[in-house]
Amino acid sequence: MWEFILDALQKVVTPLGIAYMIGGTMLGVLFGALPGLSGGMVMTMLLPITYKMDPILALELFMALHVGSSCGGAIGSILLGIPGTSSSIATSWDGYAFTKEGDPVRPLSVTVVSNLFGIIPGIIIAMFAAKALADLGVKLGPWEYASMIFCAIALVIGLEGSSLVKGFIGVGFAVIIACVGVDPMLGRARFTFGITEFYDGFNVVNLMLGLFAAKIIMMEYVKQSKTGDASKVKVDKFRWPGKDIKDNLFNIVSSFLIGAFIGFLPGLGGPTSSVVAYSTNKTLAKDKEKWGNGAIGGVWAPEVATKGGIGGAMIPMIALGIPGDVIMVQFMTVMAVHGVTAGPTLMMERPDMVYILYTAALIGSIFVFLVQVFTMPLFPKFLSIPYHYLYPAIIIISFLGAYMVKTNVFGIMVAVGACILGLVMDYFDIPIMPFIMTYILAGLFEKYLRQGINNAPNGIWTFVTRPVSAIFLVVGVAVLILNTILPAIKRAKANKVKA
Amino acid sequence: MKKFLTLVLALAIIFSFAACGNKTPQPTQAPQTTQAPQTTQAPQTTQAPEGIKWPNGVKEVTILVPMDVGSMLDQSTRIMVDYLNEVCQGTKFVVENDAAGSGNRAGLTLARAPGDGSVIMAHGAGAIVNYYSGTWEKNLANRDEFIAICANVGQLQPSGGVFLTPVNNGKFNDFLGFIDYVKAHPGEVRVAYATGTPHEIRLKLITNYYGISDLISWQPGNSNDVRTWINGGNVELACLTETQAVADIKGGKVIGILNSLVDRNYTDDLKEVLDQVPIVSDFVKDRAEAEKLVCAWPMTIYGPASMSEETAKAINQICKGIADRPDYMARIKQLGGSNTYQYFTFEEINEITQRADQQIREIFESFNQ
Amino acid sequence: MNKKFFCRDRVLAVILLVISGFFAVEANMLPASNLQRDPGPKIFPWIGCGILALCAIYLLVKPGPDSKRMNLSKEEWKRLGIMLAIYLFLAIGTLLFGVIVTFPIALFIVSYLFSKSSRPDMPKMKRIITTLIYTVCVSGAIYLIYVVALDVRLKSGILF
Repeated sequence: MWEFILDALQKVVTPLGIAYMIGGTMLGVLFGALPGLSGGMVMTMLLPITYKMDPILALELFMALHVGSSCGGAIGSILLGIPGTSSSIATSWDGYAFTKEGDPVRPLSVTVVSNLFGIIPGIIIAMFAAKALADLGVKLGPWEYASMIFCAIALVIGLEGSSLVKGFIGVGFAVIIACVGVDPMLGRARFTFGITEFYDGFNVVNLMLGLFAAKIIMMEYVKQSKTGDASKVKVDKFRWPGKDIKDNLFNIVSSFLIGAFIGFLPGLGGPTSSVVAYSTNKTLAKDKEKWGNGAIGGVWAPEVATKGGIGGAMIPMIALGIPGDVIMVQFMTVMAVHGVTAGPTLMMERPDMVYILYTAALIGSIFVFLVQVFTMPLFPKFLSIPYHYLYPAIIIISFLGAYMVKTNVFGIMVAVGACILGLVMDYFDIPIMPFIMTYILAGLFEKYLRQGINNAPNGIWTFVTRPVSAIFLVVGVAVLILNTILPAIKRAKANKVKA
Repeated sequence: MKKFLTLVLALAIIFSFAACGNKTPQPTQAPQTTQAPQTTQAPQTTQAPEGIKWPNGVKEVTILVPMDVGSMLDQSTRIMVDYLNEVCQGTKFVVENDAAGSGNRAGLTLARAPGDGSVIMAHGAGAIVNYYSGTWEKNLANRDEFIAICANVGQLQPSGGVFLTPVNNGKFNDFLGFIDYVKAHPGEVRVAYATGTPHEIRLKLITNYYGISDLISWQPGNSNDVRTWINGGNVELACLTETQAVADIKGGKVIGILNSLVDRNYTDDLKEVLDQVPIVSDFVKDRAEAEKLVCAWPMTIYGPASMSEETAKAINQICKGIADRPDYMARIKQLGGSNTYQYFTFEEINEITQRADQQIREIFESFNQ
Repeated sequence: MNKKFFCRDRVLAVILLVISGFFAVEANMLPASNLQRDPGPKIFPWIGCGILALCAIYLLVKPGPDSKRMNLSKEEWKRLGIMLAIYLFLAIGTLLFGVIVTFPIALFIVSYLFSKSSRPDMPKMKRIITTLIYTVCVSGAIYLIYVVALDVRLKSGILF
């Protein structure tokens, strides 16, 4: 193995390779940061040029784009409260609160360091244990997936502590809206009302753009809370978050494990792992009341989980030819274009390619760390742009991003509709957190639940008889009780004492 | 030091944008590949053959692709588009992606398009499946709505691998054994397929023929689900795309291939391994019977119903030329899997389309009784 | 029933009951699954409708204060209406006129409005000119990056 790693290092670390990686990293960070754009989008656009490129350079470029965009998504979340990607939604809840207090560098520094804590260990695990983990991963069936997502939804319900009923309303809305489109089992239309565009459902990116970018900027204009010049945000260099690391060690380790685990399960991806990590650590946190309003743990959890998933998602792709997430599909396409087929024979026939991927990911994570460290003072400078220049540009780029999801106007209409929905939810005091998180999970939950019931002769009891599934179910039920019934009992007791 | 690093970063960004700016591959230049085939170069044509009436007079031809940019259909169609841009000087060919409603909207756009060949569409028999499942409003096989013109670059027969689980499940070792086992254990054998794909139809045709489709526990999913389940032993059999057929055959997992009975232009690596795997239609001794079960479903180029047969045949003749171009065939091979180009005459492609429609309708009717 | 009964939460409850009822009826019309053990496509919509219905009943009967998070003044509602109109213009305008026409117009209007509130003392002509320059520069940059560099095809609208 070590000779393959050294050989890969020699091939990856060339002057041209480094230039591609730096350029790809910066492009990825930029695309990840801009709302409506993503690393996946720029990879799709650059795919045709990879036909002409050397395969190693092509893989290096794509890996740098992927790592960069995973990291860039947090920048918009923290500086503007507008998530750049669906994986960075959770980061915006706490990250933006720090910016409002005038210190964006603290959460930005955390996201930069999370690259090292998330990507590098994930790749190392993939290097040594890909085959074993992949074999384990495929043994888990739809029962385990469904139970795990049930557990995640139970965690999400508990995110909004102040009004549980309003949180459930958000969950209910999300379940119904997620049903619009095509039935995941039979492929038949459901709630489409004869509208062609409804067959694809509502893309989560468009919902996100409406609920966050469009609504936030609209409310800034409505409330006129910003003055002519930008608020005086502390622009500072990167600060190594030593104390934050020490205080959040359990959070970091657990989030990494959650991200890596969910990453190597085919079909789940970044948004799922960031939601689960955030919800889990909030439930276990001592300062859970602060989460959602400026707890640094609320930045660690989703960021480390998302980056941990990068190494995890490579495992089934390399070992079995099954993409761990949508981005791995792009990698498989690039490899196929150059005559390399991902799958069980890849390690035997082209181990050099496998280690080039791993090495490119490791070096990419180091580059993205360095790039973000050196460019740290630049990011808060965005906030010093006068708002009458900054916000209109953001809203136009956001709606253009909504348009580009499927290159049609429907994306813009969904974003506008989501903005209106967000306003209605604000009016009636319905929290957005449970809604958007349930929406991300609901479609997957239905698919795996129905597949699980259809597959096994014992039907629904199979969820209980399979050990891993049973564990997730027990944890999920326990979390539901912890997040719903116990606080209600506490509140009732407190009211009784008051009376 | 900071300034130096900033300069390096700036140069890297400029370099990246320069690389991005030159996006369209050069059609006359063979792509770099480590496995370039050693063939003599066919003479490069720069004009359409004489007497061909298309695309004369048409300034821009739009090829609708009902899938997202970067999908296999998109990539394969762009190779054909590059070829057409080269051979049909004076006409611009552009790809327009429209995946809305699983491609339904692209289908509706094509149906309304003029018949002069200015709008055509690339797709496969999967769209016919979509029609019967209700996602598409129009049927590509309906001659009153569309016309099949010619084959496009794309996946080739044989298609679908019928898999055995990697772990020896002790239940059956070959396809006939699978049939016997299902009959002996009704409702127990779980068979996975990717929903809405032609592989679903092919698999159900075969199992219907052997009278076992009602005895099977069907497990629909997407391609990833199916591959995960078969690798994890959560189903006993799966039918999947041929993209990984070679790797899976070499891995000893494939117990049968659903052959199209069309053997034109197989890729070399596929030819090499085909002999190792029984072709399921071979079990059916009568060739006429076998032909009812299988069907070549190539990626096809369609036009609106208003297009004349003369125009369609003209397009057919021009697209045929791509098979004589080793540079384009090498690019097609680079797409991986069993992508290739096979030629069908206008009559053949329409016959194939009608047969596919008949088979799909039969399956939907029998499974929805 | 007096006015107090129809507080915000109760209005929400009625809306939820209507929505859940509608989708429950629609779900009931979905065809059953033809797979042996699949519970079918109705189950999830029913779960969603059930959750909404239960929440609605709770909101109808609960005592206690009405929750209010968003309270806007008349001026603020007016500004909200204006921004919503601009967003709707973006959607409908793109459909009718295409991206290249609609987006710069929307950019100009949004920037003008934000400039009006953040720089109220600026003379009108100066505001128009600076906003115009800004619109041209940003639109040009976006065109260069998306259309020229990234080769995104911006479709024209129905009208032009």
